[in-house]
Amino acid sequence: MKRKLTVNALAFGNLRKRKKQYALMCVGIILAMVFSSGTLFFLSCMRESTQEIFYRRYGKENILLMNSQSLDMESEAIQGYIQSSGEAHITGYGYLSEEEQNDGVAIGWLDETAAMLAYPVVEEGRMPQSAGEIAVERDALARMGLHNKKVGDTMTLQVQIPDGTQYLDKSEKITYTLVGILSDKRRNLSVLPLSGQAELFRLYLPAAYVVEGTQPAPGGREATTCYAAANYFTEDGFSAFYDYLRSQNATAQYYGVTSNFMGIANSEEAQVTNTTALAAVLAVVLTVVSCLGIVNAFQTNLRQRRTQIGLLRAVGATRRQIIQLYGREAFLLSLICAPVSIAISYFGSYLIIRLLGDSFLFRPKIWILLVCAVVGVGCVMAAALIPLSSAAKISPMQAIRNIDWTRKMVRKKIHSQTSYRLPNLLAKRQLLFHRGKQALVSVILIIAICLSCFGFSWIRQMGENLWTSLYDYEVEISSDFYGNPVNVLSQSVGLSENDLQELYDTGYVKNIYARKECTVQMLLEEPSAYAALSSTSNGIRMWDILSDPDNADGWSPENAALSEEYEAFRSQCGYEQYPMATGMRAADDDMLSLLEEGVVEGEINLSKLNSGEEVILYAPRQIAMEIGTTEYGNYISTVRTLSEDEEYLVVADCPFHAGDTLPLSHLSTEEAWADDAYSGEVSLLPEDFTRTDHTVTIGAIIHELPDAVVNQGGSNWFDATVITSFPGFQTLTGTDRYRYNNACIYLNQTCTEEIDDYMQSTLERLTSGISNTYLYSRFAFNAEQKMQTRSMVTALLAVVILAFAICGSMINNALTSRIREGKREIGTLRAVGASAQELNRSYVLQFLSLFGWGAGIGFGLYAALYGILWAVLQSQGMSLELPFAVWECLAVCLVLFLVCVINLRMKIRQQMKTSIIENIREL
Amino acid sequence: MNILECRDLTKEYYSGDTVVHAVDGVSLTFSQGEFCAITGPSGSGKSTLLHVLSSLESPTGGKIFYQEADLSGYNDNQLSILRRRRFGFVFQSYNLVPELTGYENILLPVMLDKKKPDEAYLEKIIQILGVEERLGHLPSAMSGGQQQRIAIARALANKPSILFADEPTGNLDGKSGREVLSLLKYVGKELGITLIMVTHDLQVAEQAQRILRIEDGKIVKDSAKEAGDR
Repeated sequence: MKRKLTVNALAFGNLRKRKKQYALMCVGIILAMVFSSGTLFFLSCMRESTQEIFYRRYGKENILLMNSQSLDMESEAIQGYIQSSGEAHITGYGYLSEEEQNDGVAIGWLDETAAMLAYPVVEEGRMPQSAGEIAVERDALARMGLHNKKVGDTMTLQVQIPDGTQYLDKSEKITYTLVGILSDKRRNLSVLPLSGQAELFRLYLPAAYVVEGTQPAPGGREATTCYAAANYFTEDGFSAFYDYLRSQNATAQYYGVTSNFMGIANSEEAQVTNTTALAAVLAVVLTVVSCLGIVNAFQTNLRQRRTQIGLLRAVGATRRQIIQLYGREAFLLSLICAPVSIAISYFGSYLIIRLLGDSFLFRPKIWILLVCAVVGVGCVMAAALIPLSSAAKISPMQAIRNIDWTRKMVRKKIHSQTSYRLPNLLAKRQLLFHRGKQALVSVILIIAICLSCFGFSWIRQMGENLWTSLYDYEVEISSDFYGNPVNVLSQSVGLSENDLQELYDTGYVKNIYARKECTVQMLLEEPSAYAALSSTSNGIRMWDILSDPDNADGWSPENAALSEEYEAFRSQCGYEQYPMATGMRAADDDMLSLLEEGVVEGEINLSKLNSGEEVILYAPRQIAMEIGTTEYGNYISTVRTLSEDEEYLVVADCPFHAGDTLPLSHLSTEEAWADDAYSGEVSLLPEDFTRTDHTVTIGAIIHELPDAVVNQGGSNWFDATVITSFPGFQTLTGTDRYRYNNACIYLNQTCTEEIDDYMQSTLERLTSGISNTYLYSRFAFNAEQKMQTRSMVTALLAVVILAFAICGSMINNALTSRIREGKREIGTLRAVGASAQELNRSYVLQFLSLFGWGAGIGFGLYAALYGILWAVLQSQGMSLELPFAVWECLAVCLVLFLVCVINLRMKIRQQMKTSIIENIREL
Repeated sequence: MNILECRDLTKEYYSGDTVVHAVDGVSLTFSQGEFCAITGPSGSGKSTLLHVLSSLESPTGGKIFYQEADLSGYNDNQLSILRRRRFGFVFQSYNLVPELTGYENILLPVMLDKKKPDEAYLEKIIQILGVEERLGHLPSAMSGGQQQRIAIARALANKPSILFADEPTGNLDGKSGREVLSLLKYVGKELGITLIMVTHDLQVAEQAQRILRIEDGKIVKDSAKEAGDR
């Protein structure tokens, strides 16, 4: 039967004849395509998953305005800041009994936009559809002591009635049918602000939903909480909105605009974005490396078929025909490889995502499938055409006789060795003559090592976050007098030494960071702008200007008179110097050691702190004042991180230095002398108070608090906070009556939900008699956070290992093709008596050299880039938080090296099994 | 004294389902210093016989004895040592290591044996072969004749007992071929080496002391035997 000789027929014929060779090539191509498309799939799923997890945890809103009924959200001014907004209608605050009022839940319903933004996720059951039905967040149920309630059960709550802005002292019992259990949001959101606003979240952020349209009990008026998505999801955009609300005299009492929420939401988003970005960079590089691998595979294939190309050219085939013939082969290969690769990467990604846990979603996008297919075929075609076009350019005889190679060799200057070790000399010469071809191995290694080192740095940093996550519980006891000039000793309530010991005795507590605090006056020789601008809470301001922004233009500390209140305070206290109100905090040795990281001048000397000779001073490097302007008037703000682009009215440098002496004055009295509305009126100060003065030396200065310290929670740090140890605190205040008003408690890693319940009840018991106690549990949040971080670490680790796997595969391919090309040489050497060991050694030496160079440059490049990053950040006054990670990469390199050497030995052994004549015989 | 002997030697290949008897029950002996030419038509098995005799390929059946030692018991390492110390090979397509210079190629078996080169001896064979000028060059910078001379020098470098040559003049022009042949004869005689050479050129074969003719894997004519019979 006659068959028509077409390009397709020739291509199919070639593929059939060289089945084994093409099968190997297909494996290489499929591997390369699987790695690149798999990484793309995996990343898209990770991105989707992390976003979905974020929404499930916090909702899609990024602004929460609690008690927002007085704001006109439709106004033009607000619409400029907000993209979309919806309202939660709060119909009551439910709790089980009066004793457990603090564990209650805000009950309400969401309008359409609010529901879209709040994104409630039903874990069990459904959302309410008729009156009397309720769906509650799981944590809220637990907090109310209703762990055991199941969907379908009834529950009776005491529901406090709102009057539009506040809750009335009026409540009624309502029985609901629990129709749904929702995933936690209030818990997660209330953890974000860290402190101070948890009560606001508890009272005004709904965690229990009733059917739409439900009204409060008669006599009440619903409160509203606004869920909004900002137009500009940036700190600046948010600050502008916050400033606008402040200019509307909207105080935090009514508007829970949570800048911390934004900050942390941003940082969480940033972690996901950064991790995804790093993995994406890895993916792009891996794709490029994979393409290089495919180019290499085709190059080797064509090199072996040069004679065939030469013969075809000799019998009259044009360049175009040659390219068509071999190009068709490549196209047929890509059509075989692309679907197989996509199927493997699709199911591979599915498996990995499933292994990461239920919270991760497998939602591959169709366009990624298409991109992978097109990119896969495109890569194979491009990879095939690059070597093919150069092969087709060579003249027929050049191709047959391999003349270009011969010429290349002649150009090298070689000095004959009169004595040599064959493996070494052969390795040296082969590296010299095949430098270009083998450089690919080093380049792949350099890229893989450099990127993987950064990947490992990232993993290590995330790993550190995993194990040094925030505390599990925080007990904060706020005193109305903290920050006021005269401390009230009878109000100093909090945890005692015995309470802390009792917590340790539970056996579940790993560590407690506890602290005491009071207000002290730093007595300065002259008034300073720094002292005036520092945050002194309800302390008495040195200058009136700070509450008079409309007259601030042209103001400077030199030409301004001190405020009357301030002078009156000086005179009443009998100060000759100028007092600057600030906080004094006592911390334990662990916390003091955490502070060491932030010391910029001097050093922390524990014994001097204990004796009261020295203190540590936390004072920002600079404080600046700027006047903000809105259409509704001016406002003043103080800035601690200055921007070069901004103009400030006053910039005050920190006047304190380590070694300076500092007179401190502690004012105290027995009885309460003002209520929480006190805002610096001297006339309200008690007549009878005790003044205890000490002159101390500033042992160490801290400009910026280390993250580990900030993460310990508690109320905000004042500028110029005096920090000391517990014995030092007692000496400087002259009393032992201060108790621990803040404690951050870390549990052992192995704690369970039952232990969480037990710890919460213990803490509630210990603080039951203390008013203004806030107890925050981050236990469940931390557990979830750890789970997510662990998943991210696993995912990134998988990508890094994938990078090395690709690298290993490319190196092995390069070495295999080198051995295949050197088949004749191996045969010749065997014929003249070279043993397998000698041949092995020669190839291992070659590989060692390539690996050594690649690894050396890779690690060097990482170190250099790390150094540059460090220097750039240092020059901008920032520190590089990414740890320097080399050991992990070295370990993986070692494994990679061993795998490649084993593969090399296996390949040589395979060649040794073939007869010498088979090796020598020309193709 | 017999230096090499084979008894009932066979080598079979499979071509699809068909068995090809490349060497079929060959028994031969070679004595020290003998110059033997193996001839025969294309595909008769002459190269295969040489490859099997020289341990470059393992036989399917039969035994080979080198100085009365049975080579079938040798492992790959022992065979490698035998090849580098006792045998020398000259191939039709020279088979020089392309990354090594002429001199380095000559030194190859000596270096593999981790011995100090016998410089006087090497100088002598280099001089005999007339390749002094090309010692520092890579094979790619040499002509075919020069490459074959270097290949002969390499084969002789370790003072082998037997020199196997597979169509050593096949790729050379008439003049170069004649030169190479006379060199082989000369060094064989000079150094007392047994020379076993495959050739399809009868004029070349006639210069040997003994001519073996092989057809379909069988020895059909052995000039030594015929002389003995006579």
